[in-house]
Amino acid sequence: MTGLIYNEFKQNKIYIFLITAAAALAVIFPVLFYITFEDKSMYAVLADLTKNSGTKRAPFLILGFVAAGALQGLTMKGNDRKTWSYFVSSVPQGFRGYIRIKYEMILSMSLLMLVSCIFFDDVLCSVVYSVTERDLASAASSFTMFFYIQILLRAAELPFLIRFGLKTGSLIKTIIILTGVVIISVLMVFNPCDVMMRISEFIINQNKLGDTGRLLLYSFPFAAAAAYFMSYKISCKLYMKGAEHYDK
Amino acid sequence: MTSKKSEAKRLVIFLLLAFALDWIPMIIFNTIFGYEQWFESDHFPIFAALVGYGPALANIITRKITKEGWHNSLLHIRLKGNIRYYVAALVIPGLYGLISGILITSLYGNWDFSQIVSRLSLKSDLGSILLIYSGGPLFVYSTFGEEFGWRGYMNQKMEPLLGTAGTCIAGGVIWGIWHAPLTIQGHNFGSDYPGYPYLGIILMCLHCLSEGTILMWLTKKTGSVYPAALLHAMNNCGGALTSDLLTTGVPDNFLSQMSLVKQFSVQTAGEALIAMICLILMITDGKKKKECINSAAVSGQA
Repeated sequence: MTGLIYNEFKQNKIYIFLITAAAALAVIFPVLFYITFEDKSMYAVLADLTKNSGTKRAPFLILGFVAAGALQGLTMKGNDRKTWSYFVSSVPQGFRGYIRIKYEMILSMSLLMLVSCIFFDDVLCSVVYSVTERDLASAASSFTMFFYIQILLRAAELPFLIRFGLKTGSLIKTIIILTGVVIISVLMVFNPCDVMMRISEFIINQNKLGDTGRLLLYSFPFAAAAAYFMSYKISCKLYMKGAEHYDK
Repeated sequence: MTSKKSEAKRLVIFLLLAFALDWIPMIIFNTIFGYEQWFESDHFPIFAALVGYGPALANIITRKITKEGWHNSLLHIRLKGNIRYYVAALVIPGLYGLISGILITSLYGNWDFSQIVSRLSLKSDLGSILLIYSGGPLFVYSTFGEEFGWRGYMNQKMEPLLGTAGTCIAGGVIWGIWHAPLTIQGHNFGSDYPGYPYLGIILMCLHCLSEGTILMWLTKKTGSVYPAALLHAMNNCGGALTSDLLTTGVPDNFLSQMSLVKQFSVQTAGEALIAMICLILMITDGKKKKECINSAAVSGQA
């Protein structure tokens, strides 16, 4: 198992390094962006950030986590080969050990993203207070939620990548995402039964959720973790089928 | 140099570094910013985050200085065969909270279950429990810094010198004294109690002794620091509150009317009980290992 772990680190060290860059993108880049494109001093930008931190930082947070997700997908690169699948099936741990290491590597990258985001956020909060003497609300709870969303998305994505390989699997994933975007766009345009209003109220007004809503919300991390584990089991079943269609 | 002498030397280097790397910054921050500003408030969260990594840094620097390598770093996760200990790390804080909650309710003297039930909302409390258990484990990153130092290095060096029980006691006292710059500022017990700050430091040492014993048991059973970091994180994130939610119907000011020593005794009784059980388990495991080694030696000679 140590050999497979070493192989994963060696192959993906650049992506692991870039995860911290994605965290910096999510947290630090908004400040640089607003300083560059808004005609304001650093003090004014940071003071503004303390007032509207949610709306100003959210797009960059989402961008950072999307970038991290793309980096995690790239860890599958190079392993969708028949010769590799035959080799990895012959090691003592078998292909299940290899898939387990892959899932653990991707989970570790998500954890690294979370920890890096929290670290950069702590630095940003400290700098903001030093400059403006105002507190910037920590985004740690948002990072935690994004972490579990990322786990859920990887749980959905990885079986496709393992079954169809990186290229075809990414294509299928893109088609599914585009289908989802089209459905959401149609819902937003036609808005049957005010469904979009209800969804946005549900997301924004967390305080008005009530006990049942909060219970459902707090169950989400466990559902994501369970989905990730089920995804591993599904990937184990699909791997050898997919390997037959990989390139040589 | 004998093995014990070299271990003692390494331990001394580690302790000097662990205290220097934390006490010096803490004293500087307390002087420049004030304790409330840099530790309790959200003004400078990075300082509070970095201070927790002093023991880990001390571990790394000591290993570099003494050239002892990383063979016993305890950095492997070692999940196989040890899942029950990881689950124990999640559950134990709730368990000693349960024991303390039962003790508090007994002291209150009013086992009125209808009062307890009327105070509760199952959905709300279940939601709070789920929140603690979904967020708590992720904060292993904040407690890893301490555990990699104390359990990942100090305990390993101390045990050949002082034995298991001696390590639990001495390690707990050292860990408690390490918290002193914060305890003096009122972090753990406030500053408004008789015997301040010495009583607070002593009580902190006792708490660290109990918690350190449980953490040492987890580390020894798994050969990894991660279960200890997980339990520490669950403890810090309010894992013990999970049981308070379910067992106590006492008024909020009931405990604050007691003396600090009484409050402390009641709130840490559960932790102390579990620590004793862990200590007994460690000692019996140690005796079994010695018997196995002796019998293997005897059969080898035969």
